[in-house]
Amino acid sequence: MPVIPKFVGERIKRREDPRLVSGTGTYVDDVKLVGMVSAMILRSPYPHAKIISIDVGKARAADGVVAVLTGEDLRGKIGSVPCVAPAERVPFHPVLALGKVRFVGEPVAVVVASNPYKAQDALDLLDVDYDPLDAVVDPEKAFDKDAPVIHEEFGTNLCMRSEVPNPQVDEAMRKADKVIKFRLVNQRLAPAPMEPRGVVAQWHPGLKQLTLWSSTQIPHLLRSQLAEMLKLGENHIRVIAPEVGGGFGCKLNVYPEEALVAYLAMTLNRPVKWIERRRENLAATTHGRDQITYLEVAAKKDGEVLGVKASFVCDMGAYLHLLTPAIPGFSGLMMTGCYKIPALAFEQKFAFTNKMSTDAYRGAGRPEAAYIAERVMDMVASEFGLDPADVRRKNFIPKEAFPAPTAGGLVYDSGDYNLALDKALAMVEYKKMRAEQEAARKQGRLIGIGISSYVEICGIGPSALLPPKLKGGGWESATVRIEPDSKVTVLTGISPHGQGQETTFAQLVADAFGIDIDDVVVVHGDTAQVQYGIGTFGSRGTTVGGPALMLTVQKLQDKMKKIASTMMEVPPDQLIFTERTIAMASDPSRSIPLQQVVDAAYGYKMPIPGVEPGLEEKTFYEPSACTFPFGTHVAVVEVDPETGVVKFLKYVAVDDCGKIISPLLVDGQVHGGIAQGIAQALYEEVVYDENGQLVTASLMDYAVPKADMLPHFDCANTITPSPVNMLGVKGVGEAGTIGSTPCAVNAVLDALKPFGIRHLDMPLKPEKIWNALRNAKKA
Amino acid sequence: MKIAGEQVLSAPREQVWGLFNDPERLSRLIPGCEKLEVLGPDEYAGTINVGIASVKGVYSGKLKLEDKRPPEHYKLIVDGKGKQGFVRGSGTLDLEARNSNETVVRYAGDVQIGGPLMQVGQRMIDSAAKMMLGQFFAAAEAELKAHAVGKVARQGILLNFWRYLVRLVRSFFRKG
Amino acid sequence: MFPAPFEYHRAGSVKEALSMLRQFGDDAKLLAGGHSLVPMMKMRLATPAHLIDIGSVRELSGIREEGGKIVIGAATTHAQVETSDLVRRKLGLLAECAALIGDVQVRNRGTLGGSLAHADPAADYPAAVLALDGEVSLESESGARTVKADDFFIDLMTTAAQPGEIVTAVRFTPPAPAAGYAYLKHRQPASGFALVGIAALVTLDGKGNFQSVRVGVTGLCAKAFRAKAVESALAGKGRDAIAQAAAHVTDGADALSDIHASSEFRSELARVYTRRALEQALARAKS
Repeated sequence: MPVIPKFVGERIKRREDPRLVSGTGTYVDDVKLVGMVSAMILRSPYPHAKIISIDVGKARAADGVVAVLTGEDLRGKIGSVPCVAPAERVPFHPVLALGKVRFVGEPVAVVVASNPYKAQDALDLLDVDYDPLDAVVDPEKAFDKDAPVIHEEFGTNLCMRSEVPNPQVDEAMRKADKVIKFRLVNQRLAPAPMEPRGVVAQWHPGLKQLTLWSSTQIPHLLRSQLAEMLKLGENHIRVIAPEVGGGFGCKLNVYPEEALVAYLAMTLNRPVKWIERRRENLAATTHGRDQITYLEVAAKKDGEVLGVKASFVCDMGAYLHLLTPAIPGFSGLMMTGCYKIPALAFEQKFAFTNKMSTDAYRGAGRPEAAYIAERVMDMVASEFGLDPADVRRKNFIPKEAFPAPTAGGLVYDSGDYNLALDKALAMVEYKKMRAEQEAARKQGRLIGIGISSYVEICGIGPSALLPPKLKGGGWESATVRIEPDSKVTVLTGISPHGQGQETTFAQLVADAFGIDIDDVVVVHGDTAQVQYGIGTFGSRGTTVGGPALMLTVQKLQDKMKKIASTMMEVPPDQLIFTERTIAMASDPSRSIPLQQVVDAAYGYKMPIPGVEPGLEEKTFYEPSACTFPFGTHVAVVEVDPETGVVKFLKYVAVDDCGKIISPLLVDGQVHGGIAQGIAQALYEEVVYDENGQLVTASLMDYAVPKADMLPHFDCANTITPSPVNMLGVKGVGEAGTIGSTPCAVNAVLDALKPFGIRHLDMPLKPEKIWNALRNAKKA
Repeated sequence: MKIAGEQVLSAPREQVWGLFNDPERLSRLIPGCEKLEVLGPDEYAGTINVGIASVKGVYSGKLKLEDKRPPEHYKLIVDGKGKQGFVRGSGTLDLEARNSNETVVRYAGDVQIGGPLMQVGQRMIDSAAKMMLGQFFAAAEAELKAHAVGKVARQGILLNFWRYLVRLVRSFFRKG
Repeated sequence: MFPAPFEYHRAGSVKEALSMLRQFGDDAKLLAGGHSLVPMMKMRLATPAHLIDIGSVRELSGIREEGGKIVIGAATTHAQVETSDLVRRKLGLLAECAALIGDVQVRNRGTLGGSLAHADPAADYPAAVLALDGEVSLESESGARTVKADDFFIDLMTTAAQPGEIVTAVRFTPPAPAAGYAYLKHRQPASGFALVGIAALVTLDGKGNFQSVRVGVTGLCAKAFRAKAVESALAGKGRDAIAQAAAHVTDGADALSDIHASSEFRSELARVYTRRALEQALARAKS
């Protein structure tokens, strides 16, 4: 028998990929059912308008059309699209617009036809008479007296105002050598997953069972919310998340189309499919970021930051989606980053505007926070003529301070921020690069070095941190079953959609039982197969789902050891799992094949007292705290002074996500994250024109990054295990995004420093840089 | 979208004013205009069938004239829509007699364009609008000339005037 | 993304395509690579009732030498142009330009004739074809004619091709082997189209001064054009004259403006890239 290798810590390839790259995965659009019809949605071309009338006559009469429904047809039949996060004013969010449209892309009517072509033909026959209204586009103008009111029942566009006051901040401002004030913007972004959304619904009238396939990150939470919207028992709904081609937070949501397609399948008694088109995806799938922050930073001459005061205006969009008003909270709480800034106070105003809702987007609040913290550090360095690396060192929470309480009221689990910074600076040859920068400046070349030392919050987390209305906490679940042939099936409550837990979890399980990775199957994303789970978001898959899995594995190991102990007449605590056997730790030659133990459990011919037949265990694991991954990214860029074009000369990323189970997957997550983060810094931006019209509605205008727009990434890790979970892991799904954005921006602004340019807002497009340089030269 | 510019037409101001207030003749100047019906005093309903390259569409809408001060000024309010998008906006038209046989037409407007056309075609909208304006004034010039010699210009005349038109469009939008 | 109903016709020859064009008139569109037309159809912004596919018409495809000229069939893909030995040797500028169009998928489908006939203001090819003094061959049922690139581009997506005419080929007289060239573009980050693209082709006299200069400009205005003011400012001059001459690229230009670049920035890009393209062309040219 060949020796079975160990898998944890090895650079193994993702087990998901062969089927995905060979076209044999099953995405929602691959689901084909007998008698299935197509739904297509008519969307508002207006940002804000009254609906005077909708003429559905021609569409209903069109060839192949099965049904045409408008908002009025659904009145009272489907509940509000849910928002579970607390807010002062939560508008009713209809599945199809009622009386008024409030953003470009809002669903107005649905056509169901024999195929998508006929559905689109009929859609063209719908005639909607709108009475256009003025739109609120700029969130800062949403509170003006003469601003149009989006939800009349509120009489205001203020969704909520929240405040975290702190009198010590004023004290800090008094003690400061200088109070630095500036405004910065985290622009609106589109998550733009490779696979847009899609829903297939099938109704079994006899069983009164609804099966819904959706491209979602949260099958169970979706089931709970759908049950409420459709007034069905949760045990009458099965949600399946098949292959999901990327989520980035936008599929951590419940959408009108999910309830609508389910309703159509139930009322028409036919399977119905709706697949989102890219234009719909950019207009009507939740956006991310869109926060404006006014900052006051109290700093000493030596770079020490005494306090930060911030005022946010956060753009909610027209309606509140699942967690819309919860996202900015993280931006505030995490704003002090990895620094021991003693005083923090902030106020946040949440504005309704005539735009698509914002919600979670890769990082969800932490990229905004890291961007603020890292711009603050560079502003302080620049103000007092200090090296940005030194300012960071000066303010870092020292490694002896962990677990470290922060000004935002959090407790960071573990960290060694100097370690990551030093490693990154060594990799980029910081001193040498500064010397080169100096020499280059003398020749008129604009080279910039940008540092970002980030920390973020992951593995959410204790259930109390999640909104009460979510119908799920911060825990995670796992079932592990050893099948009669001793193959292992894992049912996990998380719902990976690119994170690769089919690989990571199989690595953990294979090593735990001394079996091959190919003996393990990881099942997820089907509420009929898997016990209730919370889902995959906020880098919680391995951080919370992993311990749930391993606690379950331990339960099974204990049971199997008990059985083996009886069979081998060795105390259970002296047994280990190795090479498809259970062996005596002190003398591995004394062993019993795993299969014999499995046979004993399933055959149960000689019952062992106190041991039930079968081999299946389950755990619902509640984490005790969150984890706080961190790291330092350093970029070296050159700006073309004539055109404003930014070129990367070097990009170094040192990330600490605690213990590493699958190094290749960690690299993959970091690479993808950096790509998305650099894209926010330099390229991406959702643009609504001054009237509220969306003008980046296709990938011809919305600039998702291509490989040739990105540098080579030099990646490394430091390893500071998290004490809050048994795996010592911290999460890595968003780290790259969080670290890279401020790093790239700081690098560009460092290049522009000789011109006295303090700050420019993202994306740092060539024209913006060119303009700033031109103005600086004029001045 | 903001539109502003001026154009010299070779006709006396009264004639230009007459042309710009005659729906029947006006309909022949508007690129792709299929009909322009009188709804009431200074209010018209029309349909245009326009396109550039493969992107073609039919738009219908209303046109209203306000603040009329013959023969020098009116305000124009447009509201039209088609399957590919909508246009809403208003503008002003001012006529100034440069001499007895030349009139300066100054126009300024603020137009809101929306729907799929704007969502995926933002980069072309400005140029397309300029091109259509160019066509409009080229046709107006031809119409005024033809009118002067007592003939009615045919829409087809446009095709033969391409070069003239292009020169016009260019001179017209050239940045000072 | 589901287009309106249309009838698909595959033409076997230019003659057949022309007769289909006559038959279906305004309701028909020619389909070659389909990279501009098909997306418009899928969004139902274009709804032609008939598509006449000329992509597999043999006589429209291929690259050959004919009486000292290089003739490239209209349906030749960008990838074929980019990788053709003949083009690389004799029309290096065109190969360099083709290699910068879109991405690999676009280059494998898009065609030279399609790009020119569509006349997108931000397409790459027109700049190179203008600089190379290409001639566009057109054919209709009443005969064939040739239009110089200078006269081909009329306005935004409007060319000299008349209804009922098909672009069949583009003919080039290869520049002298000692000529230098460059195509430089500033890429729009989302679409890959040229915010500004400059094609320069130069020959030098015995003293190393410019003998002939041709500059094609795309992306800047509603149509691609030759920067004649730049060309004439350089006649007989040397390297020192480039910077000043390049600034003339925007003379009389009505620069486009959109969310990706204002007309001011586009104009500046045009001036910078013109200078750089000329410098690079000069460096590659031999006296």
